[in-house]
Amino acid sequence: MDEIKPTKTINECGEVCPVPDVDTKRALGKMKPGEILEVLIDYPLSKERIPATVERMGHEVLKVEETGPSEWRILILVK
Amino acid sequence: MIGPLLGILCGIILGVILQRGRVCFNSAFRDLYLVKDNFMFKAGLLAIALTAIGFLAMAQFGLIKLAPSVLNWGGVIVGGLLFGMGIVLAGGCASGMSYRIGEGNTTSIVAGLVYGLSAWASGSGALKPLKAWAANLSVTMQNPDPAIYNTGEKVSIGPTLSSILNMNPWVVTLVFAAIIFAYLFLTKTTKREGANMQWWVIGIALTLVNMLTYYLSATFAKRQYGLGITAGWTNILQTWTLSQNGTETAPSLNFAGGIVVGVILGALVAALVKGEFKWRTPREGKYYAYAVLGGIMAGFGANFAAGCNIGHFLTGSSLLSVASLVASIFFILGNWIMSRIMFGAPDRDIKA
Repeated sequence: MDEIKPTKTINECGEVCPVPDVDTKRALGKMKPGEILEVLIDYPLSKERIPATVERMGHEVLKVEETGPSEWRILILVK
Repeated sequence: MIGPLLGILCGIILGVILQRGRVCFNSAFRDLYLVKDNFMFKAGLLAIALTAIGFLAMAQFGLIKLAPSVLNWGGVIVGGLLFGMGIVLAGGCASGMSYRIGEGNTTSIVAGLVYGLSAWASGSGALKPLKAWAANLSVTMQNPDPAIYNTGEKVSIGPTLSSILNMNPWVVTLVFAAIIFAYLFLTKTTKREGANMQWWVIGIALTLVNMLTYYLSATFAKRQYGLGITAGWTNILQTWTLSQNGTETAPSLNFAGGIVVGVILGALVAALVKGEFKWRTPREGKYYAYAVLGGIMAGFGANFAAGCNIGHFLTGSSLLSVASLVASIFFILGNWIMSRIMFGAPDRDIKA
């Protein structure tokens, strides 16, 4: 229904903390306001940490969606 | 026989807490520096403050004997630094790599096995003289009060904050806890809204399982200590490998080994129930190499320092052991040094 088109996708499946967090921050640093970053993860802790960290950076978490067994996608709006 | 089973029971409870709470001391230390996140560090500190009071009360009531580690300056400093650096490379501390095995993480299986072998090897064979030499630098403590401290023919204990200050352990423990509480409740805590367990829930849960473990271990396994991971890994590997070659007598699984078996089982069950189990392989093979290298460093470090983030940081600090407190400081320093090498400078654009 509300298909959000990500500007960029990073696949962090298989990575454990802090690699997904660090890669997410690096990717966000290169993006412009209004763009959307999609992060694919399968590590449970990252599902909690990435949204928390991203919000402290001032960006907006649009969605944390379960896409499979222990797999999630996080959509972040760059501010 | 009851000893190892009780170890497994304590381990299962710990494993469930670690998996549900995502308790990772590697990230607790690292995030303080890298992203100014104190959530997990506060969980650990709360556990230490509460456990310190709990252990002393249990000793006062005659349920356990306190056994603070012998202080070996070389061991806690060099071993502490190596352990701290190794866990960043291995992608998890001693407890973190153990519970992630239960989540199906293959890198952690490699790291855990190498960690146990390295800790074992560091105390035997060609490296034995090094350990024996370092042991000469050990500082022991005369038992100040056999009613509450561990005593016995071959038992050595190390200095505590109360012994070096020559003060009543209750006074020092309560001041120690009060200082921690001041930090916990007077400084801002990083929010983690999506977390299954808030930091104070994790702290209380770790305290209860550590007190239960100390009591059961002291009463039924003649092991006067709370939670620990490293000795358990060594025990499991000895049980397993020495029974294969037949020339040496293999030890049987002990209480400490039971804890590690339990942590893996508890985390496995918790992950399965919540649909978080998955065989996980890293995208790049180099992470296995990091796990091997990190496991070797952390195993050697933990053996030299005579403990890991659980045995020293969580349990030993609660005994006010000087060895454990110094080791913990060097775990954190080593962790920060390696985090800086691997992940670069801390971010300035993140608000605390």
